[in-house]
Amino acid sequence: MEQLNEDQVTEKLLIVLSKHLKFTADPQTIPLDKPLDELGLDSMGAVNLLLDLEDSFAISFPGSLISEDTFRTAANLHKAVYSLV
Amino acid sequence: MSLPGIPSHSHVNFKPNLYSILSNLVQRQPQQVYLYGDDGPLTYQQVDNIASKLGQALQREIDPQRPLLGISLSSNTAVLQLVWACLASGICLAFLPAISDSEQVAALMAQIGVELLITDVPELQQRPWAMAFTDLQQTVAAHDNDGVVTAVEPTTPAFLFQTSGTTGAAKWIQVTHGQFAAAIESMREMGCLDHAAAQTVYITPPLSHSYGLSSLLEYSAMGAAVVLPAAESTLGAVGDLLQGRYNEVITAVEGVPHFYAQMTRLLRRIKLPHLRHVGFGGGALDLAAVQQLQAVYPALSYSVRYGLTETPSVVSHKLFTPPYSENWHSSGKVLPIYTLRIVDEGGNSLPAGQVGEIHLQGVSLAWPYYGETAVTPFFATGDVGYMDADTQELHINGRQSAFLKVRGYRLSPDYLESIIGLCPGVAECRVSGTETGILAEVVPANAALLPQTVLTFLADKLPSYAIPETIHFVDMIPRTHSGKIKRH
Repeated sequence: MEQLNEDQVTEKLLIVLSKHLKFTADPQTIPLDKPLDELGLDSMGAVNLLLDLEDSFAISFPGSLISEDTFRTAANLHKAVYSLV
Repeated sequence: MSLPGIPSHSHVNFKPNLYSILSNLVQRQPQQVYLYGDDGPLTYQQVDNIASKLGQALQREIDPQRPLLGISLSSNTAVLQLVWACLASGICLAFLPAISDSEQVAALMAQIGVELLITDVPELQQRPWAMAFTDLQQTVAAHDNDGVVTAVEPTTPAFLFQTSGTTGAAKWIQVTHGQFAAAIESMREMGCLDHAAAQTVYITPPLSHSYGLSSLLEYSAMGAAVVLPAAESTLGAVGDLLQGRYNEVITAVEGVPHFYAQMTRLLRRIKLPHLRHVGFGGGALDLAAVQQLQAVYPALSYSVRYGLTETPSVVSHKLFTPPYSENWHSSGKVLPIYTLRIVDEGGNSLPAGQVGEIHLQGVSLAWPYYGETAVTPFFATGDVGYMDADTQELHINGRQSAFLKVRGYRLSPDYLESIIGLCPGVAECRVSGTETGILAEVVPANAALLPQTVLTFLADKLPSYAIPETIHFVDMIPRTHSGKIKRH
């Protein structure tokens, strides 16, 4: 897979993320700093999101990044994903 | 000690109260680790000290004429401590949802007359009728009391659970010490708990639910140690396994089918070097998950339980051990404390082998609901199944209301989903009936899966009338909080 720049990671991340949020379907309107659980991500959805992100970006989250902090907001997720691509 | 307005179950004569489960073990193995929770490992002696002191503190807060406490907790470790505290002090524990809507919680409390709520939900802690769990812990530290265990009768109420009931309206279910103890004792006599001895079990369903609480008491009764999911884990019980907090000590897991569906998708990442037993509850045994577990852990034992919120512990239980010659679709023998009838739509008893609704009666059946009286001697479970004529074991086909009527055939969506789930490349699915036939919504595990692949796979596994007309690929299947598929 070709190297993605930061904006491309953001764009792709929000598309993947939007599929897992119950209350927000449009990737354009996901607030980056709002807690994801308030946007409708529950613990079961978070596991599916994790797998989907790994497939979409061809990455593997190490245990140290599988944390509450990583999955708190879209911005935190972006930071984690960008560090892995 | 019985609560005003709550019917007592005077026909239950089982003597030991539920706290004796813990106090017996404190005498036998005080220094062994009992709990792996939020605060690190705790021994039987330590949990007993915490529970009996918390119980004493609660007795100071609660009207002795009305020994009833509500809890609304997201921390499983806190739930465990308060379960034992209430059992030690003869206080009935009502499980309220851990939600921030205080009006809704207050309304539920009023239904059963709960006057004090212990909670770790920030929005609730501000209310005059609530007390923060951390504040309760501090009052224990301030008083430096000895801790006491209060004698209770078998008829003393132990737990109140909320259920949606068969009609959809919220109902309360009251279980007494005697009813719960009789069910666990019956399981033990039947050999249904032999596999639980000497395990360190990871209990993934919330302890505030019937399955989680029953697992806790059953495994504890066999002297097992308990591992609980962290209080606020974004990735839930599966996330804890990925982080590997207690993976080295876990020898058994209890979970709903959806938990295993998620766990098996991450199986290569989850290391459980000492895993020996996998228990399914809250739904049918997931054969696809078993197949995947077998590939990594070839010699596990498996169990499946059929239970209801109205029945503490289980109605029936089945254990599968290598070489797995048993019928995987069986839910096992019914505990002798229950009388079970399979009935047709007119309420007539059906012989073994014929499918009908399961009706139930017995000493541990916590029914009629709170504030209601029984109009029939048997409880209609809403579940459909049959008794196998040869093995005398119960087979569950699904929920009555969930059955599909397609071209005159009555089909169980649970069964169809279990078969579709065996198709390589299918991660999850949901089956529903439409005007044109059966619709299967499928979450593909990889991009290579085609609808035709699924249909080809099903061709020799299902009769033609049961093969879906339409396969839709979707991103996810909507689920309830307990992981069951949402159906419309």
